[in-house]
Amino acid sequence: MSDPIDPAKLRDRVRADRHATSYPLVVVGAVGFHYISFNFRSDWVPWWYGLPLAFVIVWALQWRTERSRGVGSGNDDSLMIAFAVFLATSLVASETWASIVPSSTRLYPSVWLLPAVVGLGAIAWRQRNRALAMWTSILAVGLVAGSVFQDSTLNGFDRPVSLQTLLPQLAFLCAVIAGLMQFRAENAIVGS
Amino acid sequence: MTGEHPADGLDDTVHQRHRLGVLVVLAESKKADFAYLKMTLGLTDGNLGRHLQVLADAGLVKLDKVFEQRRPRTWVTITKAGRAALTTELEILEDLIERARQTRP
Repeated sequence: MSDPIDPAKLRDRVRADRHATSYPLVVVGAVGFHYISFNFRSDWVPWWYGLPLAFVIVWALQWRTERSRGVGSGNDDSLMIAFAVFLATSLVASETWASIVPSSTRLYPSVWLLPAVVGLGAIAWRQRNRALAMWTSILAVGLVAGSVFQDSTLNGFDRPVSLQTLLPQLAFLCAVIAGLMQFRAENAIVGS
Repeated sequence: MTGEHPADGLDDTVHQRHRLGVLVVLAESKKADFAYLKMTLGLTDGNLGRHLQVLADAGLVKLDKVFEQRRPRTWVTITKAGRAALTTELEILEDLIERARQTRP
């Protein structure tokens, strides 16, 4: 007699086959980390295009998995989220935003990354993915902490380290590391 | 009707374990092909084909036969009715487990 169906195990297997947690975490985490590290002055792609592009990359990776493994989300959630992030980044990058909401300047640069974190949260919600939702919360806390402690510095080095940059940077770096560890765990589940 | 046993609400179309497995996989991924379902659930071509036809006839899944790179491929998608049927099935099973726990000596 064959084994009975274990819905929880089956769901984990399907999620691992799709790399549903690791792809968004690694890609969005790495892109966010890149822009924070360069103070949003990257020569690569301007941040208001780069952050939406991260979600297009997630969509492309998931599309490739769907074609090769035969399992996928079957819709264009990540593309829709990319478009929403594009609109949101365009808005927070605009002069209009700074003029209408002058107090929001106190949240810079964290507010620029907020659309990407909300986008990650939307992916987590669509997948009912608790691990991704937890990391979305950690990234949001990192951004808020960076804004709250924007005038504080960490001393004892050659030059004082700004917490406004360091805290979000740490949060995004941890997300990337967690995503890479998750990628290995997903491969182990698929291989087992 | 009040006083009905929860097991009365189980739908045989969904409750069969392989069909339940198909719906669980599709509820998580939304879309899977025949080969993936066969491999994940450990079924034969004929067995899976029969179960998919039962689910499709009940309107719980949708079958799309396409040609990709000159090869036939069958994509299976869960319908809204399929998702609702799976939710009902899992709620009833949870209810049954809860009842069994309460009556355990």
